[in-house]
Amino acid sequence: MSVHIHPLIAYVAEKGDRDTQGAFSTSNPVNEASRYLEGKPAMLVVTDATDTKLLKLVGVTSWSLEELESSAYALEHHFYRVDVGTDITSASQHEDLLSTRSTCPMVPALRFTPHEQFMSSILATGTAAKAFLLVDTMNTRSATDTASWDDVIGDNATAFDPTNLPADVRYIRLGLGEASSDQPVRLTNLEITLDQSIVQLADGYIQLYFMNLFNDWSNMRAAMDARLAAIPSFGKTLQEIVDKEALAFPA
Amino acid sequence: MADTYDMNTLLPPEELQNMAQLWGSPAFYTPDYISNGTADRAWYIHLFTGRVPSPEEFYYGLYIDSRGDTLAPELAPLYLSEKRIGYFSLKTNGYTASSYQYSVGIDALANGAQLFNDATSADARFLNVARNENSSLSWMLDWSFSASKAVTLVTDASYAALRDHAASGVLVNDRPTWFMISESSNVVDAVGKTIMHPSINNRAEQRVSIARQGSWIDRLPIVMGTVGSIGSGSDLEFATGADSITNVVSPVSLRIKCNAV
Repeated sequence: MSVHIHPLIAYVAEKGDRDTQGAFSTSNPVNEASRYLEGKPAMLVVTDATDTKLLKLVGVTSWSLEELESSAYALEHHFYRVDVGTDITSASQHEDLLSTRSTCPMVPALRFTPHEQFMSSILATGTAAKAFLLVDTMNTRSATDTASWDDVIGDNATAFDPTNLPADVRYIRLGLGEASSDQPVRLTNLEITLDQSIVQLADGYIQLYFMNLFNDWSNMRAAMDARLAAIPSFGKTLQEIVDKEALAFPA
Repeated sequence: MADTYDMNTLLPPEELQNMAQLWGSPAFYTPDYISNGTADRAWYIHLFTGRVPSPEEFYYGLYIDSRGDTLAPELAPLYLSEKRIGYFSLKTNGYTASSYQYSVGIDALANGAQLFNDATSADARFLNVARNENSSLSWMLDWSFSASKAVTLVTDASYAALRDHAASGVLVNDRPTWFMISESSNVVDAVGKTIMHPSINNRAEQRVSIARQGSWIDRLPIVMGTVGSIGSGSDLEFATGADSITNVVSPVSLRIKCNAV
């Protein structure tokens, strides 16, 4: 079998304006099971290193087509020759794939959009160390009111235990850091105290890319770079193209 | 941010399989012709010739045709759209008059996949597709076709050009070699780039077709696989139409397994 299923299937299967969901009556709760992560209430929980809950914030999840920009996944080969010219070292004889935004894989983004950007629900004083995103897959809780999540995360005094959630709530642990970090959850201040009025999420939303959806794609970048490396007129730099072409097309 | 977390607690394999099956399986159909743009489902199977794209080309949406991949090396390579022979479709309404499509419940059966029997359609005139209790749940897309029907592909100018290439013996594979499934009858929307020879004027060495999610997502391939004759072990097998560039094909069945689990 050489059949391949594209990661974008998560987007087209769940997005309300695509054909699959167009067939379902989206207003009928019996169809909630047909969408797993699109338009579901979600809660971001931040704890300290010993699982004491420091912050909670509710919002909604959705799939997005915003393109991944990651140097870890971008193709290394991106300059290529587009025209015949006498000066092959001239940049004008080449084009950069970056200009077509086509150096990263096509992977749909899962976005968590908070109801409010300011974390008003500060629960305890401590140093933020862990972040969890909880998703209410059956859409029975509120995306705007944290009180409807009390059955999920327990009262403020108990330690947070992601392995002990209701069956319809799934979670993912996310990296957490300061605003200058490259973590998915970025806070303006990791030192949280109860008398603070606000702790701000550094971004308007949190975006996740699952790189191995529906397949193990982990060697794709190496494979694509090897494929492009075999083409004389592709290179990481203009000089590399010139050198490769001199070998492949001797004058 | 990418992959700095364990996705299994949020997206376990069985949920991924559900997503794929929901996309691939018709939950509703109508036995009569009802045209409803929201409740209708349609899958378009586009047939191509030439080198089968590699998984990395599929993942990155960057398809390369080099000299010798599709046409003989003395000829310039082709863009992706120029390698499409044509398409046929799978539909969930009962519009049987169409020569280029199969409709579930009319001249095709949909089996296997998870069909939400309790779900309600956006259009009450559409009925739930009953699942075959004996079918395997692991197939995200599983259709069998009426043996007495062949479909006539919908083609465009590229079909005539490929026929001409076949007639003059310059087609590397004089047959369909692979297919893609999308939600649109239109060929995949791709930006074409030609890579020229550094010193020979007007000699194209490669043609690169770049398809991105920025536009026309319904035209992007969601599933890609190989095409061949019965017994070839291909993902899509044809009783007729597998051995030449032709617009009349009769697929035996189309079964796509979700490899998430």
